[in-house]
Amino acid sequence: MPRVFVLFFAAVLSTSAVVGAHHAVTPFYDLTKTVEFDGVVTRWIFKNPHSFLYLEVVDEKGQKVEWEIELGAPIILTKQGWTPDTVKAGDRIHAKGSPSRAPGTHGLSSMAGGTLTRQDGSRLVAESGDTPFGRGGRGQQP
Amino acid sequence: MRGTLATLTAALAGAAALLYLSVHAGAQTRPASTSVPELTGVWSNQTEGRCTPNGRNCPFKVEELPLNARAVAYWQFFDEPIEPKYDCVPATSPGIIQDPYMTEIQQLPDRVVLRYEKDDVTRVAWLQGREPQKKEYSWQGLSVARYEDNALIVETTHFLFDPGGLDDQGGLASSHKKRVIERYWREGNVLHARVTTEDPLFLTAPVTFETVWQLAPKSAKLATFECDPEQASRPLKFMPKKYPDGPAKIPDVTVGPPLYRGLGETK
Repeated sequence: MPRVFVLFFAAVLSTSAVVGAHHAVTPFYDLTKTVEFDGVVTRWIFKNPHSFLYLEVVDEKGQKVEWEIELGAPIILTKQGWTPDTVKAGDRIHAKGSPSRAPGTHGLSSMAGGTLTRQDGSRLVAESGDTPFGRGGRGQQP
Repeated sequence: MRGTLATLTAALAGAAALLYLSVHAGAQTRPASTSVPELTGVWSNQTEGRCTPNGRNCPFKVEELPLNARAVAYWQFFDEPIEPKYDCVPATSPGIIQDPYMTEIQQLPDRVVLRYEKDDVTRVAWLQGREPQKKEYSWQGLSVARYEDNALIVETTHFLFDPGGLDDQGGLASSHKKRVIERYWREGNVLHARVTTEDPLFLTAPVTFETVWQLAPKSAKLATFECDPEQASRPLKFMPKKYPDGPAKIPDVTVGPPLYRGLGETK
């Protein structure tokens, strides 16, 4: 009787830490670190397999830096109430999450416990993975 | 007691014989036989208890997997950019099955069609005893199906080498010898799947996972994925390069396959 390993795939995932459905998170983002900042939305790209939110952020030296924030797949975000108009250029967002690993890059994962908060305090992405639309979640990022 | 046991044994043997005949005689059709489950419909991934890709319901670790030395060596060499997914090449089974997207099953007399929201993948599992031909290798492989004990069994072989084909997430490859056996059965409005993967080139034993879906409302339809290659590859720049760009010098010819050692040397 061959040895059978139940739930094999998640086994791999548990080692590669938190993953999205399209790719693993840990090769790209350092989950041991957290950064947070306020920024103004410049672009919101709502295309599969990942949506990306771009924020213009003024760093500690007064320089403008563009951060790229990775979100889940629109095909699943749509089921949670997201649309191409959920975020608009000019919106002010507070972002918190794991930074990208490659030196000189300004990437942030909203997956793996990241948060995105509007100026009025409402959450676009909460740590649990739930959205202000009240669905999805359970820590499962699309 | 002994008589009851004998009757039960005879009944089971008869049922097994009928099942064998129904499977091997070809012309498998639905839905006359009670051994054919009603699986046609759209199935939602939004189900508690699903084996989610974040590992929440999946406590095992990669160190516990039955990888052979080749698989471990490949895993160490693996570099994320070689995954064709970053150019929108679709995931294969078994990875495609456990992703958190909706799935549609359509049962026809001669085939079962399995559609996935992710990557717009459509798989066809052939009934009626069709066997793969030697040359029928393809990215998704060739699937044949049968009904057995009120379950749908799908067996897929004839895959191509897939750089991440064992898991779709962790850098474990699968070979052309990969064989995936999916067993689907229904309990009320819950679809269960038990998926076993064999690959003698990378695994020393089969690996299995289970997952579930919830029957979606009749109005539910699969959305189109329309993967955008620019978006798909965008995260790659966030990863430090494992291997430098540009030509690489082979430091020692003895590290290559034996056939190539000394190639080009003059005597």
